[in-house]
Amino acid sequence: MSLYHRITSHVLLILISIVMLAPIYWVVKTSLTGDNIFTYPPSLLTNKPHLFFYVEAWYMVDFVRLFFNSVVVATIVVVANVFLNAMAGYALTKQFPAKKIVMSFLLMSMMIPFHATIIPAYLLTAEIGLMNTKLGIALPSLSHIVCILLFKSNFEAVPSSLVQAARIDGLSEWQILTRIMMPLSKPAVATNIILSFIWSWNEFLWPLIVVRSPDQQTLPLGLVSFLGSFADTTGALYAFCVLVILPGMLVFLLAQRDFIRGLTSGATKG
Amino acid sequence: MAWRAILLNRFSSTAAAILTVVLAWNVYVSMNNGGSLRGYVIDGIGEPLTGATVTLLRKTVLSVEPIDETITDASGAFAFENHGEYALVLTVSADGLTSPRTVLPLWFRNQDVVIDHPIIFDP
Repeated sequence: MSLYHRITSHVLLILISIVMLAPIYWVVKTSLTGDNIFTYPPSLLTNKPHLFFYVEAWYMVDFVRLFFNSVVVATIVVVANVFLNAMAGYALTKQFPAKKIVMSFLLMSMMIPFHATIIPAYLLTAEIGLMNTKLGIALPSLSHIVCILLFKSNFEAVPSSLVQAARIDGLSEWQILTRIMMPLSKPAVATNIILSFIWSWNEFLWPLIVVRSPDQQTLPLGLVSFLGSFADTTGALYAFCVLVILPGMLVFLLAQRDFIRGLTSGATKG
Repeated sequence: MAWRAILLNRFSSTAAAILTVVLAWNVYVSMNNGGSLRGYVIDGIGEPLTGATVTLLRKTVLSVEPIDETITDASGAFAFENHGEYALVLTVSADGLTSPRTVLPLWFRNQDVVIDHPIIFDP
């Protein structure tokens, strides 16, 4: 690549990064200053920043309870996703009757928006008595088809000779999955953890439907309650927003290398 | 060694760092959450204001309501115990006049506070 192309691509990437980061910068800046969007004259730099809006946000709502609920739901979702998706992904690497129909069914399911399944999901959750529980909040997110296909493609990239050798050594299918496939598919596991964690952490619509009492609310629901009750406290509201998005960002930043590898490692067989 | 790799990877080291900070912060809070508030009031010419009423107010969503009050001593000093707030709002009243509110945000609820600068009563 020539110098000209490198400079052009870097300038372009920097501009795109600025556009992507500007809303985050604005949220963080507002959480430190309390200046809302209508402040005149507008300023890019923070004027006398402080962290007291975070203290206000912490005490205005029961943040610890909301955080704990979100952590419990996210933990259930992450554990279930890794466990169930890995098993489903491994099953799909096998040859069995009607495999194509099962694959078509899974792919078709991806095309149905979640909103179209809310009523049956609600009725089912109510029927099994999980309304207003953390397990009920986690229920529709216990497995994601994208993650199943991710595991499938990663498992298919594992050399079949390795699986055959394990089978000759007397390992059962379960042992092959847990002792051979999973350790060799760490990027896929990391991608599963990140995706399921972030989806669960940010989930708003389903918890809004399932949760009936404040003690089961997760952080996104708490944010909406906060917005409704304390609409005039701009700084505290934005501080609350930062506190909500921080864990998701942290998990992503920690595992981004494995995340990218997990998305691309199944691209080639071998 | 497996345990060494587990301890030194970025996930466990970040979690350990966060836990350490949270633990240290909680220790600090537990050592400084007596809720004592100390300060002093001076008048417009810098003399200690004796016998003024200092009112501690609680800021709620809709209003500001008084929760405690005290009288300044001969040196203009005042004190509150166990204030129970995470943001202090104070007013000083003397001779039928009341000062504007002094707002003092705190780092945690019931924090021990010594106000270094005097509250100037010059309504």
